[in-house]
Amino acid sequence: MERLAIMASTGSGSVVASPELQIWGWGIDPSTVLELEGLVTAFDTPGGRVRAVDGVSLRVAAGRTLCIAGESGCGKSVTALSIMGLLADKARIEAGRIVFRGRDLVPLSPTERRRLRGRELAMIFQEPLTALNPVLPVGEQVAEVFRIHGTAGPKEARERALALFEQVHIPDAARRFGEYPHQLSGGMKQRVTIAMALAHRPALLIADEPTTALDVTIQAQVLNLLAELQREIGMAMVFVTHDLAVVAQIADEVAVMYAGRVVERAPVAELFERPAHPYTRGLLASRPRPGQTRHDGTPLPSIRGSLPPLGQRAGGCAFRDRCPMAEPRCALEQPALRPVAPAHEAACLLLEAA
Amino acid sequence: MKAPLLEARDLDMHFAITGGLLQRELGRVRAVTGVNLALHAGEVLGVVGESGCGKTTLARVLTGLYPPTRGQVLFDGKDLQALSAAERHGMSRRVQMVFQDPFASLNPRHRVGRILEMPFELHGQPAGEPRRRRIEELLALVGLDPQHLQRWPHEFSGGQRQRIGIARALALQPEVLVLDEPLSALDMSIQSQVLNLLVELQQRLKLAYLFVSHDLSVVQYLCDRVAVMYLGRVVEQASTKQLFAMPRHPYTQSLLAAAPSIDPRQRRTQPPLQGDVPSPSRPPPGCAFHTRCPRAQARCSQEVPALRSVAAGHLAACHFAEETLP
Repeated sequence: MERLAIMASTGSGSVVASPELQIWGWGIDPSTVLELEGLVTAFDTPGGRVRAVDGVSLRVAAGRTLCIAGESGCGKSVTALSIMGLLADKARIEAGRIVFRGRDLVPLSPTERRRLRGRELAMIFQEPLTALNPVLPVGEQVAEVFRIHGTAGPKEARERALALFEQVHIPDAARRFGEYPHQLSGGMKQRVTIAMALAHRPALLIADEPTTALDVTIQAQVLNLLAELQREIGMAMVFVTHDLAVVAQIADEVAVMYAGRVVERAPVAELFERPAHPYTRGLLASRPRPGQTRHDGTPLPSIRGSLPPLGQRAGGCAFRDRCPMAEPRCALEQPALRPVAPAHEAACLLLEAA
Repeated sequence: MKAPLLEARDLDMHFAITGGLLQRELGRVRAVTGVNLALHAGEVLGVVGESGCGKTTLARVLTGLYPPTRGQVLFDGKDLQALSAAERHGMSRRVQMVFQDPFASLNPRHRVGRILEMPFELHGQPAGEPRRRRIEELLALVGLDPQHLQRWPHEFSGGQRQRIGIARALALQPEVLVLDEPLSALDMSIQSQVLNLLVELQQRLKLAYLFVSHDLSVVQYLCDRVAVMYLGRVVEQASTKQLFAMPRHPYTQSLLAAAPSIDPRQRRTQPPLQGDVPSPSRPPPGCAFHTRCPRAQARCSQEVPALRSVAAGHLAACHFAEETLP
């Protein structure tokens, strides 16, 4: 713990507001770490340009967890990669701002982006193997983070990496340090990538389905670890998941995405108690409740149809073909997010504004 | 009680790990060890456990995809291994499998019509008008359209592909479907569609299901009975109601506690289990769960607990099952 305290004081990721933020002064909540404003990310495909993310606005504060929930193809991972600056060559941010600690990241050069990654903002992935080098001992990979950023010499990098192994509760840390990724279980590998991501105590951690490939008892361990490290470091977290039960366990705020847009946004308790958007309501209703059985005689309520593929999303509300409440006007007008209760917004024309 | 339709008796399925120049056996993965399980006509039996617990291997041995290392698989009272190859092939018509990944289990180079003709061909049923009508019936049964026959698998969504996989499994009117995680590759809004379809088909066609899953809320909804597996062994077996209300094995208790609740007011503060599942090639001595068990005692590392009756219709493999009520 002592060593960690030293890390905190010498580490580069201290939580000091950037100069821009201080200049803007009023009007911005100083605890806001990340704010997306109208983000549009498009891909070039053989069929033309398609918008995977189509006007997403979000905000997350220090020490808080924002869950982006949605199904495959909803744009949640592309949103995460846009924030990190890790988009594929075919993708481009067409519009919007990604304001991180008061500074818009969109116009930054790749070099400037690289300097931020791994220091002030970091990411963990669904499959830890994609983030680990299979032919390098895991301890060296964590130590490498310090060397790449020039934040520690070889000896100190090793010591700090070992301290991180202990911080993420890798049992028998000294021995594990010299092992290769294939020698570790899925849960241990994910702990190693978490250690790498948190090496510089980032202000923002983006976690893209980090527990989806893990078994339920290991998932419980990793979710606990992330919450614990968040309390220690005070970072903001954007947690991308398709699993509503995981959302219920870890989120402070939730944004539900559908077809590239945020369709509902609320604090976690509010969302689960009073879901407003027909999509969110349908998802929550379709899960079997404890005690419910197939002998009850009524089928589970389910959302009909499936998500329209990218490029086949015409105007109007993208959910209307699957929506039990759809009206003719849903085809004409694209609903914007609007308040339905305090701190609770939904994008549906049929909802009464609060 | 009537004789079971499908039964496993003292079933072992071990895989050799080979290596070196001579491909010598270096060790064994004990994927399934000493499993006894019975599936009755019209019943839905759930098999749950984490990855590596042997649930998929068990499903494959029960459908005859792997010959067991030891023990017997009985279908309708007949030992599959004692049958001739031709008889076994005939039997396979009655037990069919639905796979987890609908993207991997359909041949991308075959149109849907061709995919659905395969089972008939393999079982020597002639082409012609009745077969065509039967295939159209199958499509209607799973909620697809006859015009889909001319399409390729890639033209369908995940949910639709899983429906095609189910139609293929039902082609020859089986009595048992072995479903290996049939929902886990599907999106959440699609899962309940397919789950409803499975419930409807089970009732309509009086099928027996062996439903392999890691999703406890789906198992609780769908299954009549549940078997819990850990490192190749069944550690607990009971009616679904009993198992969820009064789990007796400490592993089952941890598994139920680890499943995240959909209610944000019920947050877990401590993970219920520490550590990882040990490797099935080096299972710990005694009770395989003793390395993670919060209640383990000296005896647990020496003596393998037998799966024994702890209440009516309730089996558990724990030396202290009487003392471990939550």
